[in-house]
Amino acid sequence: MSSEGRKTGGPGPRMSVDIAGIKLKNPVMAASGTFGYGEEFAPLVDLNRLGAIITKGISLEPMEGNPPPRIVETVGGMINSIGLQNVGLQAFIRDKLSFLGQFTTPVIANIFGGTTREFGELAKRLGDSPGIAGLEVNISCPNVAKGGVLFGADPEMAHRVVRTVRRSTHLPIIVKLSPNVTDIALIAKAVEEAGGDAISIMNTLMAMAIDPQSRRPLLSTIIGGLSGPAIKPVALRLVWQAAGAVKVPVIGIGGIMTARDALEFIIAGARAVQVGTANFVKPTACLEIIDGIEAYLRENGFKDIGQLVGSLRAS
Amino acid sequence: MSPSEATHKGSPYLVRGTLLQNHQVAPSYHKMRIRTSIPCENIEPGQFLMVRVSDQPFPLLRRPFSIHSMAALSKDEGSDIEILYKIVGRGTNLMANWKRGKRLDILGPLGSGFSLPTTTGTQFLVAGGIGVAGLFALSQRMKANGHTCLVFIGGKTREHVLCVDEFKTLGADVYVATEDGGLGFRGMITDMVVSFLRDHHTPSGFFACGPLDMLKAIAHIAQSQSVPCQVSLETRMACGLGACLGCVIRTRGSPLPGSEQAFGGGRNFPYKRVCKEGPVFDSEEVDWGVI
Repeated sequence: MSSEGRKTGGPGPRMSVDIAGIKLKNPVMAASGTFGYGEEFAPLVDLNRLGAIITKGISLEPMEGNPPPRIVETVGGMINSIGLQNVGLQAFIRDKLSFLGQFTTPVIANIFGGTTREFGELAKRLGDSPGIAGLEVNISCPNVAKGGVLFGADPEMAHRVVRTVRRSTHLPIIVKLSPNVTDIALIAKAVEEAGGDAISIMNTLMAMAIDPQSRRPLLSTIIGGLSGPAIKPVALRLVWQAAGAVKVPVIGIGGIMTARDALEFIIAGARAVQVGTANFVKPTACLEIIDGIEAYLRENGFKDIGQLVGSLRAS
Repeated sequence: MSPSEATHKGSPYLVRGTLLQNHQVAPSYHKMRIRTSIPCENIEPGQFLMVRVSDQPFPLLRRPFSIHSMAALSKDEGSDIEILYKIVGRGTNLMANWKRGKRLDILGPLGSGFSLPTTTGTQFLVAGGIGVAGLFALSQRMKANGHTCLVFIGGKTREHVLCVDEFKTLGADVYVATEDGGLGFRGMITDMVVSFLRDHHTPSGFFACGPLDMLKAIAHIAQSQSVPCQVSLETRMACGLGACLGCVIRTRGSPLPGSEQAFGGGRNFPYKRVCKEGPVFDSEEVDWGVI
């Protein structure tokens, strides 16, 4: 379905954005880990309408993930500790990419390595695979024993990972940052300097929940990552801070449930957004957000989504 | 069946349903009847719905409910679906106050349901507490297919024993156990099954839904009798679509389809999704030691 001319009054505002050479029809992407490999949502969502699909984090070898219970709902959100269960690179390339290849929507592969070398190997092999528009480098997963958030918490480590990935592929590189850091601007700059083409902010906030009756943690790993509307104000603040510190595009993620939420991120400086937990609540959330952003642009006289990016009237 | 229907078979629908009825059937148990546009023939016994319980940020996630019964509508393609639910928390408390005519946001049918028996002979359906919810749809389908089933229903007290009359209306023999002896056999339903088996023939199959300890015991009984057993499991769930991997249980494992090599030949992939490969599992598949 074309987004143009849905309402009377001529062509609609321009919704397309460019993230490091990846051409998105609109700024709304499905976030990694919340949209599977696309096929899970295909019966309910026209995947061709999405700005991009970011696939579930992939590692070189399959990973079995953490023991259950892996999720718990909290006020305004949920804590997860999936532990990057995934089919591994080989099965991903062989079984999952061909399905996604049927659609016009760019596919961005989220990659995760336990070592710098593994990140490089993933980037190299995905760069040789058709059907991948870009990589999202996950240096921010709070739920794995090695790698993960450790890479994203230290500017030097982050720099090393991104530099290795940069040398291993010509694909556009998005680097997904953790909120569990003291100074997001420092990490963002390190990533930019190492050759990252864009930055996505943020991964989940480290969190926990307890059952007072049993005095047991509600997740097997005790600590997990909080997502959902509860984290939006934190994510928005980090996007604002990072967008002021780097020149590369920033992609906003964190508790986006509605078009209004997405607009807040864009105004704060995000060139695009990712929708995560909302997909669980409402499988069609991305589509409603796309329509809502377009309606806002139209109603407020914007001809191009780009006019809105970073347009916060701060003073 | 048209080609488009064929491709949709097994796929979930995201629909608006209309609440036809929502009434208490026992203290802390309600039954809800929903008119939906989901074709009845697309629903398998043992499948479930994800119901959105609020449009506020809390409670946020949809709640999963077994499909208790389904009936085709004569005039159009849809179905009336019943869910039987226990009021346990914030979500179900909200639901209990819903009034007739309310529009509901429904995702389903989801998951892999029960496989109907391929052999003749008596089937044992064993339910604990709210576990009866999913077994009723199964008994309906079994009756339609000419299978004989015996139904065992256990509950803490008589207030927790549900649906006895409904199963009887279907022509099934129903056996009841309560922990306090307030109704039927005194003790656990699994003890009743064991004692029943002393004087009766071994069934052709077990179908069970209820608390984990009950399922574990039934799985053990079935194994000792060398009878197949299907269990319906319940875990916390976020998406219901197989995407989030939040609802997994540990199984004895099987190589991931098509990726045997990636596992170095024999390595097993132990976690399976309750929302996709389940909620119904072959009891032999479940790793009862860890679960």
